[in-house]
Order: sequence, then structure tokens, then C-alpha cells
Amino acid sequence: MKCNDYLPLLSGHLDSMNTAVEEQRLQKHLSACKHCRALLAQMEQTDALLHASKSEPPADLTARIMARVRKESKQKSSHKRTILSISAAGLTAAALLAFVFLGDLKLPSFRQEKDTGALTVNTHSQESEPLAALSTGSADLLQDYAQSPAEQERSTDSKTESMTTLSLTVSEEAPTAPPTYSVPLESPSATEPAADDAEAMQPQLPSLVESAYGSATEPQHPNDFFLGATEQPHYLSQNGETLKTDAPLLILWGARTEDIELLKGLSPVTAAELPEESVEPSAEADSLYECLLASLPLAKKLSEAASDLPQNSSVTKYHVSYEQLSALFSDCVGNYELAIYYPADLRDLENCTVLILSPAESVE
Amino acid sequence: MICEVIDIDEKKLLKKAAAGSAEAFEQLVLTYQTPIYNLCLRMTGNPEDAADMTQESFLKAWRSLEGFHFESAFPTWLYRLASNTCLDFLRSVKRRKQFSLTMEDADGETQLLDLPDPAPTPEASLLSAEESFLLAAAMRQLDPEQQRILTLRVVNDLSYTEIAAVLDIKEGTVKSRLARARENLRKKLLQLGNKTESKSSNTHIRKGGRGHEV
Repeated sequence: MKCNDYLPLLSGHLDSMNTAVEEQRLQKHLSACKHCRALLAQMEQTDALLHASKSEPPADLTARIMARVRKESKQKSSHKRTILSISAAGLTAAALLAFVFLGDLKLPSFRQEKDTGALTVNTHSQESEPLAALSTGSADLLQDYAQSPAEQERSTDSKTESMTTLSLTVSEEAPTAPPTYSVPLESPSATEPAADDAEAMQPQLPSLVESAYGSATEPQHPNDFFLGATEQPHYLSQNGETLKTDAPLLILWGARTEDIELLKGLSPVTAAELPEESVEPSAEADSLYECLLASLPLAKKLSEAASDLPQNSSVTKYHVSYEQLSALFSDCVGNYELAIYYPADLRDLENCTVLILSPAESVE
Repeated sequence: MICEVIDIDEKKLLKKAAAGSAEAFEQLVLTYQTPIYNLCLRMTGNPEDAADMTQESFLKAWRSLEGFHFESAFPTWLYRLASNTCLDFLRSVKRRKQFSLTMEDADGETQLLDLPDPAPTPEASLLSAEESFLLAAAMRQLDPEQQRILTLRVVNDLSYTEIAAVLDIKEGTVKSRLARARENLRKKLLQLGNKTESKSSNTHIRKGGRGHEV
């Protein structure tokens, strides 16, 4: 018998499942074979590693499970308000987080259907609402960082000075009140784009952030994430300058409260500033980039939500390389500087799938 | 462990839960959530997914409890349900493609390693962060079926008989499959252990593409 043939016996030995004959044969071989003795030792270590990896589940797991169970037994919600079904066919590999800076943005909120992963969008009023009380279960916040819109010469060094906070929630149940809210910017009427002359936008960010964080006490639903698309021309502004674009735009972000906590009060990093060297995210990281390294739910969530593209939606699916993707975003967003963040560990440069939503047409 | 004898109390709980009692179901959750969580943890490789999958599994169990008629022991049924949930999750193509690290080693060769999520939440186990990472990375390179059988045996401590019941295979098959899984894991751990050691030398971990510069 070759050493390889002894593998089942080695394994059986570890489980005490060898017959007497098998065990005898094994021991005889082991006494003569250094290689297999080493193999056995390594297997024992492997087992030990697995044993030691036993963990306690998170303290709130039971509560989370039972919350879902109770909710299910109460209602058979059938997400009737399907207006636009969107498949977030995810960023494989690269998990790019594109932060685009938006002002006066009316974003629909999305709800992810648990079984199919399809997203349905909630209509919401065109009115800007101040940050309202957050709906149960989904108190996630997003911070968009206003970035300098590039003009003819792209300035790659500009930093954010104003921050616009947008919050969306994705919740399981049919929302009673639309759980969306946008920053009440001092902007022209929300329903129509302003004239092309720049309007100064003054997001009242700090207080919004405070109040938002203050009310974000609910545990986050694990499937919450955000996907946004604009239906109208949107504005990018900084320093009082506003540029308008109606290009198709994809906004992706995913954050749980604890992730957002990290982002709070941080300065954004532009693409140009991404460090050359590999950066280990640390708990004390004080750059946005580093903190994003530590928060990874996005790609994962998107992939979970992936489902077949609905027939009627005006979506365009691209299968691109990262380089093409960067260029694509540039094309879509136009002149604006786009900061792309990604966790350092995602290095598949080959194929990413990106879903780009064109300005949505109503479906159904 | 699965007991061969059907627990009378558990049978009562099951009946109540099947009839719609959330309280009864909660007792079942409390009993089984830790082993199920650990099964999911080793199969998914990170605490977030593990919690998600555990939740998914119990939810599925809740939904299909009425269809459970004691053809097998309840734990067998539950382990099967949970591991299948994890398998589906692992096999979803998009998830598979997500995280990979391209590494150039000292010989200038490019290797593709699958890394687990750099989970922000550490596993609450005895392992160090590095060990956790290594184990998750190694497990991740195993075929999901191998991940499953290995976990059921070594982490969940199921017997060959119980495993055979969960996987619906012959007991003899369990032994050979376990052997292959163990051998594979051993190899992967060795490989990864060597790779991370050589990090300090010429290995250059190539970062993902830079953001687009406008």
C-alpha cells in the first residue's frame, strides 16, 4: 500500500472509527513511515484548529431570528408595490464603492425581497423631508461626501468641504411612511431642476449627522443595503458651485450603523490620494479609505440580491474590466471627480459586473 | 451530538412549533443555534454570513416545520437544512467571484488565492486573528461539500452514522470523504501558511486598481 492509501485510516484514526484490523495495519505502517507520522501530526493540528474555532454566536442572534419568525407568522406580505424591479447584479470581485457627490438628490428607497433578492422601489414624495424618525429595523445611514466637481481641468486634489447626508432604509415590511429622506438642502424646488446657474447649496450636515446617529438605535437588518438611482437631473456641488448632470448614475453604498460610525467626521479620500502601499485597516483608522477597508458588506449584499434582470427595467449590464469600469463611471458621471473606494483585499481585476441604471422608467 | 432516541420534550416542542407557537420554536432555536451557527461559520468563513445563514436556516425550518414528520431525528433534519442553505450560498456564483487576491510570489509567479472577507467582526473563538483568517482562507478553498463534511464531523461532532443520515450517503462513504477533506485542508493550510510567511520577502501583494483619476 502506498502512503496515500493510508489516508482514510489516518482520518479514521482521528475519529476512532477504524476497525481493529485497520488500526493495527495503520500502526504498523506508522512505525515504519516518517512521512505518515508527520501527516498524522498535521492532521491532528488541523482538527485542533477546527475545534478551537468554535464560537459563540452573536448575542442578539436569537432575537434576530425570532423577530423574523414572529414577523413571518404575522403577515404574508407580498410586496405589492413593485414599481421597478432592479437586480443588483453586484460588483463581483472588485466591489467598487463609488461615492458620487450629490446634492438635492431624490432617491428612491429600495426594499429587498428576502426570497428572490429582487429589489422593489418605493415611491416617495418629492418633498425633501428633514431626517425623520427612522423606521424599525433599518436605520442605516449613508454619508455622501461632496466632492469637487471637476471642471475642464480636473482637480484631483480637492477635498470635501461640505458633506451631504442621505439616508435610505431598506426594510422588509411594506413601508407605511416612505422611509426615505433627503437632506433639506437650500436648493430650488425639488421637483424641477434649477437653472443652470449655480445655486449655493448649504447642507446642514453636522446637525443632521448628529440627529441621525442619535436615532439609529435599531439593530441593522442584515440584508439592508442601499442602491440608488436618480430619476432626475442631479447636482453636484461644492463650495457654492453647482454643476448639473443627467447622465445615468449608479450610486452604491452599503452601510450598517457601525460602519457609518467609522465614517463619521472623516475626511474623504479622492482617488488620487489612495495610498500606494497596502494599508491594513485598523480600528483607529482615521481616513475614510481605511475605514472603508473595514466595512465590506456592500459587495456581499449586492451579490445576495442578485437575481434575474427584470424584463422591463431600463438597465444596462456591463461586463467590464476594472479599467473599463473606471472609464465607464467617468463617462456616466461626466466631468465630476469620482472617488472609488474599495477594500484592499479585493484584487480581482479581471471581470466585474456592474449594473448601471439609466434614469428609471416606471415599470409595470 | 444527535441522540438516537427521540427526545419526548423536543417532540412536544416540535408539535407546538409546527402548530405555530413561536415560543416553542424559540426553545428549539436556543438549543440548536450554537451548533448551527458554528456549522455556518466554518462553511461561510465569516461571522456576518454565518449569522445570516443561521437566521436563514431557522427561518426555513420555521416555514417547513409542518412538513417534518419525524422520518429522521430533528437535529438531522436541521443540520441538513442548514448545511444546504450554506451550500446554496457558497455556490452562488457572484459570491464565489468576490474576493480574490492576486499575489506575486518571490518567483514572480502570479497566484490567485481566494481570501475570505476581511471580516470586521472577529470570531469569538480561541483562535488568534491570524489563525482565524488562515483557517477561513484554507476552508474557502475546499469544495463546499468537503467544507460541510469536515465541519459536521470535527466542529459539530456528529458521528459517522449521523453524518451519513444528514448527507444521505452510506456510512462507508463518510470515512473516505472525510479523509479527502482532511487531507485537502491540511494541504491548503500548509500552502497558505507558507505564503503568508513569505510576505516579508519579495512577495508583493498587488492592490486592486486605483480609483479612476479624473
